[in-house]
Amino acid sequence: MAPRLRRNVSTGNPQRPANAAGADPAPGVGGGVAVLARADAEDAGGPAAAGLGAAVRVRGLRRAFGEHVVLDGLDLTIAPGEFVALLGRSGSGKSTLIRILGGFDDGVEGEVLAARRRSVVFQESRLLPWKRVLPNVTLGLSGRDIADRGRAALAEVGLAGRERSWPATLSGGEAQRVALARALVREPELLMLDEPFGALDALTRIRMHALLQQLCRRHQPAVLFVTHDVDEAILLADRVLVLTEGRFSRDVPVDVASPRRRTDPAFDRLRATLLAELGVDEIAEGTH
Amino acid sequence: MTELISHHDVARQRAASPGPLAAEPAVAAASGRPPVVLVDPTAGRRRTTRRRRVPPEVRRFLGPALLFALWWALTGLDVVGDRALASPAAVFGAARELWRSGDLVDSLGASLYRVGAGVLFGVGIGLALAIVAGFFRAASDVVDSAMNFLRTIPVIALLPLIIVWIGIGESAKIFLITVGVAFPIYMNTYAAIRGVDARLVEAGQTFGLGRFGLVRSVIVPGAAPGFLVGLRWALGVAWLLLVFAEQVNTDSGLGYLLNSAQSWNRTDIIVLCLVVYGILGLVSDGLVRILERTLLSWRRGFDGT
Repeated sequence: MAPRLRRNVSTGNPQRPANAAGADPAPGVGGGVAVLARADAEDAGGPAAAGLGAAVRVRGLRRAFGEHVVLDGLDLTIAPGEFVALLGRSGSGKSTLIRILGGFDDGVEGEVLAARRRSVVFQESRLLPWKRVLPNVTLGLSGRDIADRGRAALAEVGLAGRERSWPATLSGGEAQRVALARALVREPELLMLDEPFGALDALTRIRMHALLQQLCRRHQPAVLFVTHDVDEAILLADRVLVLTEGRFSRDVPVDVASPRRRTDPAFDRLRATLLAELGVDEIAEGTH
Repeated sequence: MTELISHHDVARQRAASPGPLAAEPAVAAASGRPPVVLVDPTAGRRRTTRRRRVPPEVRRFLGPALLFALWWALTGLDVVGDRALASPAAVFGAARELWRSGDLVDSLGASLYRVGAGVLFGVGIGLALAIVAGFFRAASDVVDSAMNFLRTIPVIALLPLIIVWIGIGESAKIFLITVGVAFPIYMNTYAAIRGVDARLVEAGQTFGLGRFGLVRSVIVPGAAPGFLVGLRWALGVAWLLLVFAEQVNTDSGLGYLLNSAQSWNRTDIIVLCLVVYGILGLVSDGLVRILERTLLSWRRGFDGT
């Protein structure tokens, strides 16, 4: 493999730190203390990165593009193993937040700390078209057993036997499952998904929801799930945030009995609340 | 609307009903809507019988074969005189003669050496400049503007200057080809490096690729298609420049043979040289094709119908 040079973003560290419950493949919520690293730091894992019992800690985050303030004094804490959905209208800064936590944005003000081992699933699978499926999954990893780990991750997302396929031959859902495998093979403490199922058809999306839930139960990463689909957020998340004009205008826990059903009155109430927060009146808009 | 209906269909519709085919005319009349005209969108393009397909290899061979047949006919029927255009048989005879004497092999060897060396150096220089300009913003400002300025100068116009600089020997010929090759390689590779999808680069960074890893896993494979386009173009330029280079004080090579044949008044040898040029062009194009097929096997591009 290529020698892994230091960059300003350190994300794909495949080695689990000793304190992250190395022996236990599935630490419970709060079981493994995530090592926080400044997402924009030159050297991830400095003194500021001591365990804080959180996978994300953001204080007073501000991001402006020229005159236009996208994120305005944002505070956010995500506990290890917590599933947080982030809702917002398009252009509300959801993807900007992901980019900041991913370490792709160096124009930020405020405190930004995120788990050192973090991975992202993008809306488009972003697989390298010139690499077969398995090397795409193990991209950037080094070590002797990476091929086996990659195969195991592919089996987990139901794509065992497709290791040697070219990405161009995959369907949209399959490509997104490979992207999930690529994110999970790194055993992330923080998994960020930026509208991962937005481009999939409704049937595939239902199956992907079930798969994601199953994978999250097994791997217990903290999850930041960006979506514009209110139902999807309620279906999957422990907590839903609504981003409006650069601030969180809502932060509600999802108290819907599982398995969550859209017909549940609690589901319906929460949906109405969230849609209203997003400026959509279901009845007036005639969506029902 | 009616233009879309094939004559065949129109005829059939006329036979069936007086007007154009209308959907449920009763309903249309009742609601006051204009009737919807139905046409068969596949009309005229449906395959009634399975067409026997000619294998692509055969079709590729068909073009040159037609040209050859035309040549044979023109010379065989005495449409053009033997002095103007030699017949295939005469050219074949010339080939045998020159092969026996060793002239053909010597000329071919000298020319191949010049083109080979020129392409090698040209690709090296073009690639190096493209990589420097592609990766470093500061270098791109300097290199790219300089290359774009130089690019507009016809390479052949450099010939007098080259002769002043390095004389009329072998190195001048190789130099000319090198210069001609470097530009298309540079232009295409630079554009390809800059055109690599930024989102893939970002994804590579997310998953822990370092600078070297990004170059090796994302940028080089991403820029390969553009480089190959440049290579194909560059090979064409190389053969073209060879002809020019070999007209300047040479005593070997295909261009020399061509010039000599002109002074000997041997159209058979002239045509032979042209045929050899054509074959060499086809072979070099085929080599790039093979390179494309191996390097770009991941692509499922549009192949035409």
